[in-house]
Amino acid sequence: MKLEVDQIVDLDKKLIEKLPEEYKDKVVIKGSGTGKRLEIEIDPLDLCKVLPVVKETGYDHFLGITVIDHPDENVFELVYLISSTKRSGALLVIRTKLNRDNPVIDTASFIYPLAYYQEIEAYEFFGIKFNNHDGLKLWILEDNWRGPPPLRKDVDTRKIVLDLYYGGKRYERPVQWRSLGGLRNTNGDQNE
Amino acid sequence: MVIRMSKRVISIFLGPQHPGAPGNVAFKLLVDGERVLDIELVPGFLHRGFEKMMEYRRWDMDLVMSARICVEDPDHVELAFTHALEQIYGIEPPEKAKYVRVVVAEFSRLASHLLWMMHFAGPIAARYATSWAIAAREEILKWFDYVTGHRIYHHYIFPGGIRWDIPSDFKERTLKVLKHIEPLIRDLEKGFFKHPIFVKRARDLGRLKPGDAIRLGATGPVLRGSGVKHDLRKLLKYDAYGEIDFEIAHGEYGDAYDRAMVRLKEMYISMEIIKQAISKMPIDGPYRWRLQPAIPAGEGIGRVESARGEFIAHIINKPPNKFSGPLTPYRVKFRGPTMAHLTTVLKHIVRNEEITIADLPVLIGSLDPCPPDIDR
Repeated sequence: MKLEVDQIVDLDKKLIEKLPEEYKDKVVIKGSGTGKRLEIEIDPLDLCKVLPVVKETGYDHFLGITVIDHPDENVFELVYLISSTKRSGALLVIRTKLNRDNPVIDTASFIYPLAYYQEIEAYEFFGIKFNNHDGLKLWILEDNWRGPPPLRKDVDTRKIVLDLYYGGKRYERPVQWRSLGGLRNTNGDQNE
Repeated sequence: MVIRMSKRVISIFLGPQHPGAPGNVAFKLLVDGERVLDIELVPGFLHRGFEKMMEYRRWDMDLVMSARICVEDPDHVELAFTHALEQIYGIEPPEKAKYVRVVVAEFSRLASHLLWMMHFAGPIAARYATSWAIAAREEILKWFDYVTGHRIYHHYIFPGGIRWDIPSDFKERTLKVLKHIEPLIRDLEKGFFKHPIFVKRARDLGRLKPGDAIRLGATGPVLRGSGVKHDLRKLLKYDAYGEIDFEIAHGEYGDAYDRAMVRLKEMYISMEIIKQAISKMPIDGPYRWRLQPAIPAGEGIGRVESARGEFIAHIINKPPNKFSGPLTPYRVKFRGPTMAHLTTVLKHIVRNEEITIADLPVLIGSLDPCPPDIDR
């Protein structure tokens, strides 16, 4: 385990040298176990400045994009997961925040081809638009889905399903509280 | 459905109910006579909205649901979910659980590779190989039934350790299974993998260079078949893999034959890992730490080397608010290996090589897709 940390710290220096001025002191090591990673938080406009540098320094293996919806802060958080085959699988995480009212960011598909399909997924489930992306469409969802992007936090998919298929009524099975020490879920009153 | 683009070039669908299609996906092909010019994936036939459903449910329910994401290799998805959750709780599983997890994960890999023979040997018309592989897999399913109580979805790997303690004759029983399946796999090697018809069919088909494999996001046996020695078990040394001595199976040429041979070698390596894990495993000691029901705020990324490639579970939890309760995770995202293999990798191969419609089932079979992890 110690060796792993040393490698990541060594990597730090090479990456920091090439990063744009404003991000040189923003690289941090986070996480534990298999999730040990380097993290940089960037401005969404600088994505196409940072990604080529990251690819040059050896982070060549694109894994995916996670989108997190924060309606209380009015932002979408995009998390780019990139690993390195040259540096024994080290993980780099690039985070960026988009305004929730008009979420637009440049596509990464010219740098990492797999991002093309991950971006289609972000588009259909969260409604994020990508500049210069020619294939944004409903891909995993059905073509005739007319509702809002379903993975947004303020979309209640249970309500949509109840309205669409059960006329708004359905018998809910009572929840067994015993199994988790009697602690109740305060997530609205869905489980009551 | 056939769309005529010109006199010769037409666009046709392959799947999802076509016998040559690998599970619940369709492909849109652009063909010129027999030759496939371009291929486009049409997923979504098995979209169940797991990521949204998990936001409504407690984390112990989510674990049970996570296994459904990849039917053929469920234990690695559970393992990724468990790693991510354990990072949020900030705990390490007990020593005994680490070894049991390795044994369960490797048996899951063996079962998955044996089931893959069905998708792969079937289209080559080697039905005998399919039956032998399923016979060997049956022994592993019986073992799972005995140890975990279930045949297909086990939910045995649990945040904090393993769900139940192992039975008293765990070691003897496991060794007996290995003794039973090893000759069957040796038969498969002689009867199928070394068979001249198979070698002629799969050699030089769908070559993927190492640089391209990395660039396009390939993982697992597809990446290793191209000669890149990249295995998270060796690199990240999660659970008890750091204590176990094993080699990384890899190919040289990167064609369909090399990818198949990597899976065969991995079956032998898996059996070796299981034997070592069993001999080094502590018999006494705790098997699970009890976790508090409410998840602390935090973020966890669980990365595991599944039978098909790198599987990631990314869990984010925030303090309870209007949108999320104390027992439910705020957001769960899974990254499966299949999306890269069926989109970028397959497209690259089809565009750069002369692939006919008859080659497609062999080519797609050699990538070992599990379409549910695209749809989720």
